[in-house]
Amino acid sequence: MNIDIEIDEYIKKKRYRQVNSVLVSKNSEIIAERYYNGFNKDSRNPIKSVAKSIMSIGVGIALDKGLISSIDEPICKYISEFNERRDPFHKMITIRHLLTMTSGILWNGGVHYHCPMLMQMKHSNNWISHITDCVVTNRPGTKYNYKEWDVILLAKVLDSIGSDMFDLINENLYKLLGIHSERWYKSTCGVYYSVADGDEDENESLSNLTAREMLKIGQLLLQKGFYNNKQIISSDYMEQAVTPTQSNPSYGYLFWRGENWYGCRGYGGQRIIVIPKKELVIVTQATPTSRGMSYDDVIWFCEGLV
Amino acid sequence: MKNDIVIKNARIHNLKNVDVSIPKHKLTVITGVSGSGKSSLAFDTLYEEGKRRYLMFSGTQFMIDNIPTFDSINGLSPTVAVEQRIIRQSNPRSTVGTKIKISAMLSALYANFGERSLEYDNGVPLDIAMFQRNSPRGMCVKCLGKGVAKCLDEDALFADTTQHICDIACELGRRGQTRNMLEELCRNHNMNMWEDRLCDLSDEQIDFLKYGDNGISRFDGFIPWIYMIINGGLGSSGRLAHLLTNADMLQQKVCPKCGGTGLGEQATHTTFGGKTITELEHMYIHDLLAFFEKRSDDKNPLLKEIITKLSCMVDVGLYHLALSRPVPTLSGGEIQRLFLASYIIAEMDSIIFVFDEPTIGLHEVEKENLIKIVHKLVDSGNTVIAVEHDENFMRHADYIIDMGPEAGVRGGVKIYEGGYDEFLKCQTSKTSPYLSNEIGFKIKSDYRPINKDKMLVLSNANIHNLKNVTVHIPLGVMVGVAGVSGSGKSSLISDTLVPKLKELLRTKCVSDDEISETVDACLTGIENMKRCYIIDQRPIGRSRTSCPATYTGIFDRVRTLFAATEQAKECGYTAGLFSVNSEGGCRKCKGDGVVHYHVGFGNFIDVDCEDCGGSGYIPEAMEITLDGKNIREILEMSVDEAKDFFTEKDKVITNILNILKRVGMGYIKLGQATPTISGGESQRIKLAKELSKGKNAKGALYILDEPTTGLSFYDSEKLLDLLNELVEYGNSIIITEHDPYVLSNCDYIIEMGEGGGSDGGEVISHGNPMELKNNPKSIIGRYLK
Repeated sequence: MNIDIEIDEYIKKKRYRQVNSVLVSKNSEIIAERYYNGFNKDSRNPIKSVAKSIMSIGVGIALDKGLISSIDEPICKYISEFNERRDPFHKMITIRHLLTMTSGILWNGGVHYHCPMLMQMKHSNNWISHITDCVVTNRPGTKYNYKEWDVILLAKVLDSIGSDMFDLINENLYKLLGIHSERWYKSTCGVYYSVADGDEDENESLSNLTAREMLKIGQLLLQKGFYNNKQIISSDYMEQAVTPTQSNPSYGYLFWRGENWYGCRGYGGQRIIVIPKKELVIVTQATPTSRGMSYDDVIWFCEGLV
Repeated sequence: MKNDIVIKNARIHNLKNVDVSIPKHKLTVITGVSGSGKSSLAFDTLYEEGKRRYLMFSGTQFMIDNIPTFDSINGLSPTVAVEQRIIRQSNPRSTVGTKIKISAMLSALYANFGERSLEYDNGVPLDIAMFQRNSPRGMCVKCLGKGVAKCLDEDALFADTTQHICDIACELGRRGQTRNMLEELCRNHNMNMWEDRLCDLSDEQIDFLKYGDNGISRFDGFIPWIYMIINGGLGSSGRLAHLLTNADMLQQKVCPKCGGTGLGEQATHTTFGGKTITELEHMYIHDLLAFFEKRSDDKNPLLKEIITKLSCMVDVGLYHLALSRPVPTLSGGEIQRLFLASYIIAEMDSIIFVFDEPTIGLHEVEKENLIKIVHKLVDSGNTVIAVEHDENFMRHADYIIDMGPEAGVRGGVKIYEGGYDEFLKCQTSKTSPYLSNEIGFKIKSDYRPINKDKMLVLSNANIHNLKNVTVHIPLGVMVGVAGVSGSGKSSLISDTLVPKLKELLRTKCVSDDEISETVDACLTGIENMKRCYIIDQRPIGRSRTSCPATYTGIFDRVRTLFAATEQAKECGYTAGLFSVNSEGGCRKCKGDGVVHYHVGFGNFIDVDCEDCGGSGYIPEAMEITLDGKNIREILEMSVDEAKDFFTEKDKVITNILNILKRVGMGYIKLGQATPTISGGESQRIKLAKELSKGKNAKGALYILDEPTTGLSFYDSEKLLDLLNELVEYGNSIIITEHDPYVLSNCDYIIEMGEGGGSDGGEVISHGNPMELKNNPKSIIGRYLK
């Protein structure tokens, strides 16, 4: 049976009404490209936490450019609030800890990752200062806890080393891959934070990408930073970024990974999944709802078709 | 419908086949000396059975086959206990406001009607959770809603520059994990932790010691490492925190981010009627009621509901509390009235209420109010049964049951049942002679002279409702502090004098409370005293399995006695086997002896643990006997029984037991579980513990809070004798007290008033009891004996 029809039937059978795009690429060629709900190849969809992984690539760029010397640099070098010893552990927190979600700063993700603590931060006048006030409940580097604080702090770091975080990513990644994105949302207190929690669609939609753009990022991952005959990011970093860490074997540097795959995951079904042995890249996009659906089964269904 | 509740042949605990019949829709008082079986009859027989039957009827509970503790009880209706003991709890987050659900209503009020300060108004709607300290949306992110934070005094840790590296922070580096890591750090930076003194080190080296070297060595530095340990990062041992606190290197301070409110920025910048939610929660309930009444309109149902609840709180005499008051700091009597308020709000009839000394903690004036409320309950068709010692309360009862004649095995007999007037004529009762003034409570007429040179002078006290108070507290005598609830007694003593003493005497001030706060007041005259003991009503011990025996230290010796028996030696058993917290504890119930089942509505039913049969011990521990008694049987002994048992065996144990008896605790079981010990009992056990340590101590100050709570006249008199003896030895005593008998036996009284809350906060009279009786300004004067 035709692979397109099989995917369509699967989506229909499962009644996945929020799934908007499914793309499968093998050996750098698109072998299936399905759109639903009026989507097409130019339609843009929220990327949610896929932005975290893109920021991780940003760290790779910063390393290549010598903007940071190592991911073991303490963040207090870049964020002055962490120099004030509001918490005795602050000076120990490094960029690596942010990348691996092990800063140890207090975080409660809430039910379905609704992030109750985020609301308080958004209400505050200075987000970074608010996070600096949060108590550190685990020694940095010891305990994995998926949280927004760490990427918000990472955004601040990436924004402090050169001119601007978005410019860094746009000039050195997006443009080289042919990705067109609006300038990401920046809070009034000057913090890039793209992964808003859905109630600020306007701000969030700035970072939206098409399915094909997502696929390009997947292809870059599969090729360890090599794209269009050019090493865009050093392969060392790209490899490290998807290698399991001690604190969580399913997580690298803001990248997820499993037994035979690695990739990016965003709330509500945004996926860029790379299966290196099969030279496969699979992308899904969906309209995020409060139920926080993942549609991971769609990925594994597609893999089974190839 | 039957008109009486008839109990036949009740025999739980020390009850000796008691038959009684309690009239329904009336107020009945059960009285008698402490330990005579009042509670066994009221709570363990009547209430337990009433609860059991109701739960069985409503189908929420399974049958429990217990050995019957009576032959029959007829005429029961649904029974509610308003106890002091079971509801004593130590969840520090529970407050008066959360307990009666007014806090949730206030949060809703602020979320919907609050005015936001412009600077913080970002257009996003407010949310109820943002005003709740227990919600991750609302709580302060630094202190997690607690309002306090542990603060390590960095300078104090490193102040002694002559100390060796290994001795920093109470010798933390000498042992264990810290030692290995610290050695590594020192090696990496040319230091020797055993030989180098702080003064030998460079600033950079000191900084490595404080904050580590950014991961080159495994040691994080003393400051992060200590925080990690004291915040429980390595397990729950509180040893280091305790050592550092005693060494004055660690303090509990008000959280610097939220200023103690426990809330986030939005909540602290939203007001209603010009006040923040925290300010309202800190107001006295009667001021709060006035605040809302001024703003009430018919359109706001939320306000109406809040006002109804607050009025009820005022009616039961809780107008002097603030909603923010943590429940664990309430006295037993206050907790009881808190629950009473919620029952009155519910407006039920045909319920049997069982109260445990409802007049505790009430001023004579307030008692009259309470009696009115209880009568209201009876008039609306309920039955009220109260365990009570108070003279006034008994006089207003319809029916009296007297238990006796003495405590423990020498009690458990019904001495009298009938009306109050007949009761006065009862010849066999130990209580009635006091009531009929036949014996009369001993009342002091010779007051000890006041030495003007030996005075504690507390001035400029302004906390809570205190109005810049200055008091002279004579030393070397017994001082009573009186006043209606909320008049400022506690503000003056517990919230000003005690923190001040802690601040000035530091480790020479013994107390259970670790929070040290600084108060703005001036205290002079402490050079006249050597030590200070603050003996409050907080529960003894912290673990579930703590009991009088463990708290007073008797238990360690008992275990050693057991381990020294031939039987134990043969089997190779050590003292650890005889502790339920150690090897000896039953694996299933973890030493509790019972397994809890939640039956809904906050009620629990305890069922004996199947594995250990309710003993809490593993069988090996139970096999060893000391003079024919196993460890469980020893714990089941009352202090009186144990005193006889240990007389020839251990001097230290006997000494402690003697003191326990003298403070009126002869009836308490050695192994009585902490949750079943009332606040008054806790306080007397603490007193006994301190007294047993150094009886001949001179120049100490004891601060007590209603020490006769829950004691019969007979036992109160004995306790007063003991306190007087302490004063004779050259010590001083300060008692916060309502009881006119106890106050009449003080040498000096300081009376606060005249009302509660904003109407109080001043010293309205002072002097010896005789002077107060003749002082028209004094309120308590006319009640003194």
